[in-house]
Amino acid sequence: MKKAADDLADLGRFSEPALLILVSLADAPKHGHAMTRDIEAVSGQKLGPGTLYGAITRLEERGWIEPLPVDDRRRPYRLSSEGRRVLRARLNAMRAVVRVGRTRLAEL
Amino acid sequence: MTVRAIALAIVRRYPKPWRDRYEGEVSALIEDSDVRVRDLGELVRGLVTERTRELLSDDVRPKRTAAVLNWMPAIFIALLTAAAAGAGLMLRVLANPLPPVAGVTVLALVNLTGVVVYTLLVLRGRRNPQARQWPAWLTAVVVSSWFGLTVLIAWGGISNLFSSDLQGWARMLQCWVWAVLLMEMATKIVPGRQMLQALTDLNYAEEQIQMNEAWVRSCHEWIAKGVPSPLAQAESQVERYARERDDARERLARLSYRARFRGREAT
Repeated sequence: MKKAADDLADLGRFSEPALLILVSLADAPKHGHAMTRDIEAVSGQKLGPGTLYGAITRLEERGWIEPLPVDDRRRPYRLSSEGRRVLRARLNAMRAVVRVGRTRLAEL
Repeated sequence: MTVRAIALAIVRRYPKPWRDRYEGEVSALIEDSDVRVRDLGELVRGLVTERTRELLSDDVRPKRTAAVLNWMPAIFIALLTAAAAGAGLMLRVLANPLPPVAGVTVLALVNLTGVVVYTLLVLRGRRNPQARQWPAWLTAVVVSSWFGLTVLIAWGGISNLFSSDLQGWARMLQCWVWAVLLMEMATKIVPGRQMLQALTDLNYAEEQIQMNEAWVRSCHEWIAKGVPSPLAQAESQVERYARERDDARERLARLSYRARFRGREAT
């Protein structure tokens, strides 16, 4: 489980955009524009096309997301089972950090 | 030209395999959304990254990567010189040309720096032969001196650079010395120097293997005809270069070069 979280960290500067993309695709397949709007609504961050497709390229290479047939030049992507596992592992790791952080803040 | 048009133009500069796969959807995204100026920077950064990735995963032969790495020092120096010349010309337009006295003083300082650097380098080499030949401080000195020298020339503080008198020749000579120093430094500090060396070794080893395999084949032919031939020597040469090739591949793998080498013994 720890390894999966590390896998996401291996994406370097794309690790955070990649996490946001995985979260965005967790409920349903989306194309680039829909992902950008969803990520902006969820996190307040607007991913530019360079960052978005830099992360998509790497996620697709690792088999964590899968392309679906093109619909009017817009290609939707969906989360693969491996991508779901990686996302779950990363969220669990983050939950542990949040729990510790909250506990320590409460102690102050 | 709008920001959107510039963004689309940048996307068209991405490597072809990437464009074949993503250009349509990225273009659609750019057309659908509000593209900001900062997105252009991001696209340029992506362009550099994808071009580098393409270079490092060339699946044909590593010669193109070696050629690009080989040209990097010259490109770096050309860009640095152009930037310095631009700065000098701008100063010339905005302010008066640099007075000759000031120019000569700065020039003397630059050359004095060169002498001090060279002396320190020689002393350092004698004290510790294993020391890194081009430490970071030396790089900073050489780069800034070359930059300063070029600015001065463009600004007009050093006039008659190309005159035929003795001073003109002396100026040309010192420019040449600094350019050689800069080139030497650039070849030492350029990113990918180790990769370039490994690629060169790999290409050389592969060429040698081909040559020596041909020698082995001809030895077999001669032996079949009853003529004595140095087969063992030819085979040992093939083995030797095969070891060098494998060593170069191993070094390349450590440096994250992911080429899928073609050939009979492709890895």
